[in-house]
Amino acid sequence: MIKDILQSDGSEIKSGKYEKDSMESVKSIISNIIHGSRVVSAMRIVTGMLFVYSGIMKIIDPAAFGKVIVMYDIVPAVMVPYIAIVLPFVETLVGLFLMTGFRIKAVALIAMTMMVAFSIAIAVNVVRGRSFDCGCFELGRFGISEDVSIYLVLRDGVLFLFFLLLFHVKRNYYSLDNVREKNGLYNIS
Amino acid sequence: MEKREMRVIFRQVVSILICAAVAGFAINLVHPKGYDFVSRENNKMEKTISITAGEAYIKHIHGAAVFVDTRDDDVYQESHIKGAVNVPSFPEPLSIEKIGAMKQTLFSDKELVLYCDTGCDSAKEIAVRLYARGYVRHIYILKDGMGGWNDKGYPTE
Repeated sequence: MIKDILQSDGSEIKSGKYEKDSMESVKSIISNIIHGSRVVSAMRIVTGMLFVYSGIMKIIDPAAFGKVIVMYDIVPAVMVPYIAIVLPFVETLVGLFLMTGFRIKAVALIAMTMMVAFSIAIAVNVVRGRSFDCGCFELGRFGISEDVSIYLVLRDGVLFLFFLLLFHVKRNYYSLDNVREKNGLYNIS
Repeated sequence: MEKREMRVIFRQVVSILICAAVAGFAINLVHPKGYDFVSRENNKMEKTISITAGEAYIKHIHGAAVFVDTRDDDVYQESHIKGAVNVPSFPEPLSIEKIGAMKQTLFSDKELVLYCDTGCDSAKEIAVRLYARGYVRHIYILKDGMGGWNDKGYPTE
């Protein structure tokens, strides 16, 4: 495409041909991703590992996770123990299923909901002017700050878009769903 | 996306959430850092603190607490901790009436030390009634009651 531009007499630019080509290229890339991309599948596995890690860290110390939930000051105190007990297991299961590529659409839907909830909780506390460790992916141990900030809201937004993409992908590499579909065990990928 | 497909996905989501909840509560039963689920009444009772006569005496000499005698009125009249007020635990209607009448004294800035003879079940009953009426702070219960106080020779009237 760049070679064409250099060799043109300018008429193609005037007619908007290159803009149309760019749009077509972008559409083609998105279409390729939707129909199956090894890069997206690899990202799925890495994200799954992250969820498993953070879920297990929370399972190890639910009381500490409960204290983090209290810091957000959003849910009633009576609900804190239930969330501290159940959410880490949801996170771990979602991570395991993402890694193995099992029930991808269902876990992508759960993950999207989680990202929306976390984004709202973090955004509310950013507006309140509070700063504390968000308790998201337990990355503080690796020197990665997870203090409540607009950066985390953006990060969760990006993750939401990734899971939205994952929900619509028609073919997932390195996945149990793919194996089952190939063997004709069920129709949903 | 077809409706049938969405229904299947929704069922899968519910199944995953149910599995996570079951696993979470099952592990919580044996987890050393897990949560205990107690009744609201027991939770309120967790805010009562048992103290010895010596500890209560320190509060007494500094005027830091209101002492509440939870025994019957005739027993109270015979002898009680110096300065203590009487809120008997029985009969219940009288007890509730007394709590209402003395609300200003009981809900003041001072701490509350409840006592009875020795076992102090009546003191715990008064504590439950106070929490039910909006008392939010810790309530101290004299461990060995009037018996322990007399043994130490602390002031009575």
